[in-house]
Amino acid sequence: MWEAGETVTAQGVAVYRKRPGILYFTNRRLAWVPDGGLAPTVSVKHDEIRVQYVSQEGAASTTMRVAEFKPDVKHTFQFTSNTAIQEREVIKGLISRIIHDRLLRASGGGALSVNGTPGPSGGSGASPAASSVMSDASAPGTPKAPLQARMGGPGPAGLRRGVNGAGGVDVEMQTRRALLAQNRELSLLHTELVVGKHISENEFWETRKSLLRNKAAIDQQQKGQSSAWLDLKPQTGESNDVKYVMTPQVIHSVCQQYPSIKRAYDQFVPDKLSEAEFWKRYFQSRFFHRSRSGRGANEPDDEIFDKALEEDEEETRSAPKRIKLDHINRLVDLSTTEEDHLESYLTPDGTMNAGKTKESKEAMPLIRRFNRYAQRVLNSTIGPKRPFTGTDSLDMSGVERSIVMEDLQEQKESSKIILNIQDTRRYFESQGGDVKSSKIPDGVDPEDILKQFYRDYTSHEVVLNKEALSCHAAGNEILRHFWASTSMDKASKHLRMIESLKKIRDENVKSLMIQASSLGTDCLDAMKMMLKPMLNGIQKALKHADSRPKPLIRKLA
Amino acid sequence: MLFHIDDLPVYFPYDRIYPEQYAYMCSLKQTLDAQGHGVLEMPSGTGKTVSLLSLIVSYQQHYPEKRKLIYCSRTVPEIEKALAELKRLVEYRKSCGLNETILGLGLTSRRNLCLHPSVSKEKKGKVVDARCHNLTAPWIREAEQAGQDIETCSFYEELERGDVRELVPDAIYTLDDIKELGKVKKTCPYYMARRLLSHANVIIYSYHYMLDPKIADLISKELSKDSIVVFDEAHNIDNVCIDSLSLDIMRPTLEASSKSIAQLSERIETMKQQGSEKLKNEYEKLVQGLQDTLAARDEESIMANPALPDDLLHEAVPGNIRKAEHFVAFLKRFNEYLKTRLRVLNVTAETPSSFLRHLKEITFIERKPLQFCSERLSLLTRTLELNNLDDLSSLQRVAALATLVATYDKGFMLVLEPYESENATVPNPILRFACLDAAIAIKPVFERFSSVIITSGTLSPLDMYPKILDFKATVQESYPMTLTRNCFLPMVITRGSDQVAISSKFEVRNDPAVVRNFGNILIEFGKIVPDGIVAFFPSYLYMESIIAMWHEMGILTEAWKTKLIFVETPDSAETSIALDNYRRACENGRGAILLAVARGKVSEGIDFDHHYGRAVVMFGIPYQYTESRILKARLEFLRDEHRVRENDFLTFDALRHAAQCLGRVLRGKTDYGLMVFADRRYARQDKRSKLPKWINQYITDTSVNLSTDMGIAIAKKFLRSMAQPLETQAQMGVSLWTLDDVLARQKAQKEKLERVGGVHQQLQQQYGAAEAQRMMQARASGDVYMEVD
Repeated sequence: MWEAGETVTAQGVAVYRKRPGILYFTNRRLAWVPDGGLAPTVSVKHDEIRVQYVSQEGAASTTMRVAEFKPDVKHTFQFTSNTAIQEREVIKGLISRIIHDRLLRASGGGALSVNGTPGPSGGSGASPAASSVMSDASAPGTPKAPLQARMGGPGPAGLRRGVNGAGGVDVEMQTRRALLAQNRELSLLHTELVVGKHISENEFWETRKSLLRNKAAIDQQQKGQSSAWLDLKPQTGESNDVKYVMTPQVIHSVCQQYPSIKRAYDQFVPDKLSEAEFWKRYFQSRFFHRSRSGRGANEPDDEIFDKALEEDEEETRSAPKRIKLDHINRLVDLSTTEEDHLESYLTPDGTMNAGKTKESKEAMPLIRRFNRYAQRVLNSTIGPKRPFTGTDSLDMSGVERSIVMEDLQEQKESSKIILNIQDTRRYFESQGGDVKSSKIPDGVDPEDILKQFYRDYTSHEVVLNKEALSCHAAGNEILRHFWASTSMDKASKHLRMIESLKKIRDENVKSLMIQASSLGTDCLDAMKMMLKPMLNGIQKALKHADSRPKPLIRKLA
Repeated sequence: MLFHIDDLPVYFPYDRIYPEQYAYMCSLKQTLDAQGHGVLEMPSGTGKTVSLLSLIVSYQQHYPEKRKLIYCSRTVPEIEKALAELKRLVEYRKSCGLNETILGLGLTSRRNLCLHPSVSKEKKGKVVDARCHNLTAPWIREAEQAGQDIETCSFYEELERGDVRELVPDAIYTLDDIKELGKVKKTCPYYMARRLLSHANVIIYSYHYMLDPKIADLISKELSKDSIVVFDEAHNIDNVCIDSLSLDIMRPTLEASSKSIAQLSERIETMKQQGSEKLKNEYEKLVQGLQDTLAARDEESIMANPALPDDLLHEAVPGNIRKAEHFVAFLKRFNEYLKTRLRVLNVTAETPSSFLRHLKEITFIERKPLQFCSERLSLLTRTLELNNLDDLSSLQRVAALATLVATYDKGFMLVLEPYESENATVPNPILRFACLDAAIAIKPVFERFSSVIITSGTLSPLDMYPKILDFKATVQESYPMTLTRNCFLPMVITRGSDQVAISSKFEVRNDPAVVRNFGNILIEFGKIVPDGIVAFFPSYLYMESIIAMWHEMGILTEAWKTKLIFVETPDSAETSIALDNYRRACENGRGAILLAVARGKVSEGIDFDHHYGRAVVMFGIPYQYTESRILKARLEFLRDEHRVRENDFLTFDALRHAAQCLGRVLRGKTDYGLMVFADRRYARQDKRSKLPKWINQYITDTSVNLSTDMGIAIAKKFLRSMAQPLETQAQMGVSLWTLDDVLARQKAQKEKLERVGGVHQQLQQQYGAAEAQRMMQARASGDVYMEVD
């Protein structure tokens, strides 16, 4: 019933969905098996347990509820034996520890560094967690987690979780805060508008959904696993100690590169050996030294790693016997051609006959290891190849795609949306209206005009620039909200906007003008010029508002 | 689009056409009209297959003779693609309103087509064939019909019950389609396809079904003489011809055939004791010289004759091997002789006749009975009603050697090599019967069929093929590639950044500096080229040793940082999976490097277009193993017979493989790729001149003698410019034609012809015919000024 290496730590008689059964807590998961059943119907891996609830002391039934990370997935177990409470407490304690450990890990720390002196005299004890090499909180979990997940990293799932908002409101608030922290202009605008009570927080962010989405996506995105071929180098400390730092990523890499190590790891850690011990023995073993320099005869025997060494050599010595070629793309299936006609009566000459010479004995296992490692890296990032689901039409499209020549086909024009300007003359006139009046007088060199403009532009007094800018931005934003709320159902908002516009015009602009005038007339002129477009806009808006019939506001009781 | 070449309406299934495709189709028509043979070189990636098929199908359907088209290709994926093209073409023709019935299908081995639930699970073709034979042999079927409890193949039986013509409506069947049809009608797809060959309008299969005597006689016997035969991707066809008449024997084969001989003896004894009539019957027929009646119409026969049909003797089987037990004894003597020959520890090379002389001295075996060996063996297996024919494969091989060595003399030789390689200490003897003359196997094809077309992307120099295959080509053309924007960049890197020259030449190939420079090329291109890179080596041995050295130098670790690495292995299943993963890595964006061998399975038929191959690197020059005695004998033969110089041939052979590898990276003119020749020797004119025209025209003087860093700089610039989209408008009229362009070109040509014709007439009138001819020629070659009227 259990997987290899899985052991039961605690169990209790429990009812789930009105059916009697036994709840098991193993070193991998929480599982419930119905009475008379052969396999667990409920199986929650350690990493999937989000939170647990227990019924209170003295309650009628002794229940425990476990919630998963998946939204709305909860399991309720009711313990029914004589020792129900004890059983529940034991399991509760184990689950608590798991959740606690996970929280600890997520907040940093968790690297393992193994000290060892080269040589059979044995090293000093391992010192865990001394150097934390974790870069950020969103690094892929613990060494056990990715291995147990068996080729499903938290990467893609994590991304999807965040963007869909399934993480809830907290993620959204976080993103908003981060955006404001990054973008000064946005935060100024935010302060001006929201804190100044012109628009509500939600209204502010409603028009900026794409910004939020992008930020969330960027934050959620995890760096993919590096495909680099691992070359573990020790860090030589001062006291002649050879130190190897093992982060979860490194452990994951080693396990990917050498599946026999992975098997040994699964088997022995953490039940029979601690992590530190396991890796200490690894670095002293023949396995490690063989893969480093090709030699390695004077290392001590080590039953775990010698077995791993044997397995590894066995695997890469020769091509695997039975390979299923069913779900690879037919266009790259070389075996169909090999078996297309009668076997050739020829053997190829020495140079094309691979795998025979002394060099090939070294190279072939390496080549096989490359191919397999690359496959594993690929599978762990994009998932294993999904076999075709029955219909062969999917397969045919591969052949179709490879024969059709796209450049010989007629390119289809992408359907465009035509811009529907009702009176084109007026539009173009309004665009270029002022240009007509400002003809360059004869005799004046355009270059001079431009130089003058540049001088004006750069030497412009920018004393009150910031305030002017923020006022301008705030005014425009409110104008936008104003025009967006002209429909009937946004009447109350509309009214609010009108109020805000009036307030901006009467208070903020005026105060700016006063400040500007106190600094001199040309400052005042400049300020007037800067704020003119916005004031025009406000004027137009208010005129529009006045000309409309006042909408009835129904007060809710 | 629809246009006319002379009076032939050609339906082309696209709206646009490349100028090269149009020119290609014109040459094709010329060849077919002249009922002669053609050698046509068309650049890679310009839609050669679709042009070929659309012209020939139009030709076939237009003229009343309805000449059959036999299209031969090398690999099964290529066959599948060609069938898919054909299907698409015929659908297009239908959509244009043509009302025609075309039957087109492909043929491959039983292993690829079998539907039987248990037999189809076998991976080896040999085993599938044998198990199929076990279920469908005539005596098995007779026994089953007589009521015995013996297993037969339901799919075969179902097929036998019906008429295959009624079963299969006229249409184009890809390999999948015919299997589907078989599943629906519960009939055997393989035999359906085989039986329909004589009725089909278009047949697509591998070269071997046309060239290899062992198969060709069974399959292609009944194809009519005016059929059009096309060999596509035929740059390697001379090697296919040579291989189909060559044979190797090693000690394990002889051991196995001894066992088979013993088994045969036992079986004969058993049958005699049972008083079977069959053996007597066989003897009678053989005495009367009626062995053909014994063979009858036996399509299940899997043991065909290894010699060409025309070279078979149609006489009575010689007396000393008519009786079954005499024949088996005969085989035993021959087998033992071969065993003793294989014990000799020095290299021997001799002609077949000298071999036969020696054989006769020692064993008194004559030539004539040897010639009948294969035939006699298949008769015997039929008479003895033997199952599990794959057990007899070693004996078949020995019998094949006997037949071949007795049938052929000129252009063949036998070599005995006691050691596999120069430095081996343990003897592993191999006796090679080698064909040296490629023309022998293909002669029947050229003689029997009126139009044979040899086409590929790399056939340079064009006149090499008519020479070594010994035929006359009516049309010989090579087409350049018209490009608006250079979509591929061939460059020759001759030295590393440390200025050390790089080469795969034997003397320097293990020099660490050279190896490191090769490695740097890989690393640097890995950094700048997106998606997939394919790197080819001259041989497996070389690739293995370089990989080992690179790993020690840490070069591969560097390369792993930017891309995944996949390597071709001798095992085809493993390599197929590696290829599949390579494609996935390219699609995914992670990118990958594929290390392969220039003469290997990957270079033969796998495409690396678009993102599957953005750069191809050819490390070194893929020469054949020059120390091979067979190769030396072949070169001598070519020198004596066809006056082809040895160096010329070796270079030609190496460069056609290199060009073939590099051409895999393009498909269409909007695809792009880098082609890197990494060897000092490529810079030399004698090497470069042997590359096909369409590659050569784009090798500029600045890209010929580069060091690694110079090459990288040029490549970076190229890749940046390729990333810009190419406007279709820019290509129109130059490298891409619409129907109007085609018609305009035709009009211009017609006018030119008329003008030339008019001038010719004028000159004739003025100066008389002979003088006019001379003047026209001079004018054409530019020796004379044009007369100003």
